[in-house]
Amino acid sequence: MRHVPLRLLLPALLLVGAFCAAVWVTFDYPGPDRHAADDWVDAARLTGAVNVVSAIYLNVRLLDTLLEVLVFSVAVLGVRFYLRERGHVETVDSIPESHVLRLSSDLLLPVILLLGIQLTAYGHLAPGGGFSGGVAAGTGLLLAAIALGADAVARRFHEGALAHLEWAVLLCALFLAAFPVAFGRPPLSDLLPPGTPGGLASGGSILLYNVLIGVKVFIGTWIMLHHFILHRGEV
Amino acid sequence: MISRTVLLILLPVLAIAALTQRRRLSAIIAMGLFSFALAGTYFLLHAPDVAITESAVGAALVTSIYVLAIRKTGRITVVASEAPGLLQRDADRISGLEWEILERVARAAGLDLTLTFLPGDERLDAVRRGDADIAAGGLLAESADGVLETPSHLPTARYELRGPAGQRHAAAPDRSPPAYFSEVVDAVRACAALSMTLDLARFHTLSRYDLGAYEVRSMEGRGGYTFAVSPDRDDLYRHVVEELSKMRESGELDRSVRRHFP
Repeated sequence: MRHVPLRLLLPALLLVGAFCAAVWVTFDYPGPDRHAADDWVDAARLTGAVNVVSAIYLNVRLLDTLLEVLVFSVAVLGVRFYLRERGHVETVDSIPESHVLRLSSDLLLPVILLLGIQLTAYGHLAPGGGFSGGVAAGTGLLLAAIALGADAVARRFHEGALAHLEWAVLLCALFLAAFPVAFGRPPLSDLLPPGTPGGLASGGSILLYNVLIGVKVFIGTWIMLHHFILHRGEV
Repeated sequence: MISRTVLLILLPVLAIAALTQRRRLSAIIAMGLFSFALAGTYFLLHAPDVAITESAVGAALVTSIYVLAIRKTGRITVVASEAPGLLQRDADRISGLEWEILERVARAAGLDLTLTFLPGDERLDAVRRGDADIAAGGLLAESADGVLETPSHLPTARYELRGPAGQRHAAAPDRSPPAYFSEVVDAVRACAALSMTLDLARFHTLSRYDLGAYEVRSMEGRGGYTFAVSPDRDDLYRHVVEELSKMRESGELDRSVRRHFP
């Protein structure tokens, strides 16, 4: 038998173990509880958000979403950590590749950024939300990086401050989730009123969470893409 | 209903296409298309939230991260000198025995080939510096330092060319040998005085012209043509060695040699 190094064997065993545990736990799982699901939808309706989906993941099941944001942060951290070992790639000062590319980037970038903001701000009223809005805007910056050169885009943002801001925003979201305890309410509950359904200022804290998550994901997306460009070379 | 069925059929087709592509960039594009089709499916299944996230993350972000990640690993950079029969420019395409071998290696490894022409000695320096992955184009095995030499894929012979017989030879050694092979060809066509040693590929090209006036002598010390691979790319070295032995076993190498050196 071929010798398998320990550093590969351990994670492999862990993965197999986790898979077996997942099968064992879910073996006699009766499927989603119809009543619980109905309860969630009823609770989501009470938030005043038109988009029931975002009401569920940013109000009724907020904990899941917060943990997902944490997973995204760890992914960004992993990209930064592991690419650091690779050293920077020396690239020649990038010249805009073509007039067409530059012009289309100039025209498209504001639209993409606006789309990102719209997806984030209207997440409680229409499909979208902080996750997709942040990723859309962050990937839009990649377009600018291709057309103008990554350095030109990176110079407009202070990378170190951005990284701090990313974690500050995450802490804000966690603080917002824990804050109701100060008012004698259970954590993760909503302090803001539902407002008039359909209005921008409705749905309680959902808009606030969407904006926080949107900013966080936007920064994280750009940091990831910029680190790949720094360490692997321009596109 | 019909569009949903079409998308559902398209999903496994795109997934299989992504899995079976040899070129990494094609595989990534197929994966991006898969994400897009998946987003469309979600949308038709009345899940617009998931559809938007899928198209933003799956089709845009993940695709661009993959493209950035394979930026360096996705290609083989070849530096070569032109060597007729082995690696030559024909109008706008490259041909020759070595190019055929390199194309097979690239296909087997799922990588793209990029070629830069460099004069003789600069090729090995470029590979040593790590600017290029492989040096090719009539490179003779000479156990050079700092590069990995693949087993020879074609034995060469050295030919000494002197002449023309009528002219006095004492004048020839004073002149420095021509720097470019095209100058040698011109000299032979003009029947000018020459005294030089040639390898098989270059001699083979000259033999198309009338060498009757020259004295040709096959010399001792047979060697072979080889590729010099950068020491950082031992994965690539293994691919070349493996592909060469495969071609040798199947007789493909012999057929290729006969095609390029009839």
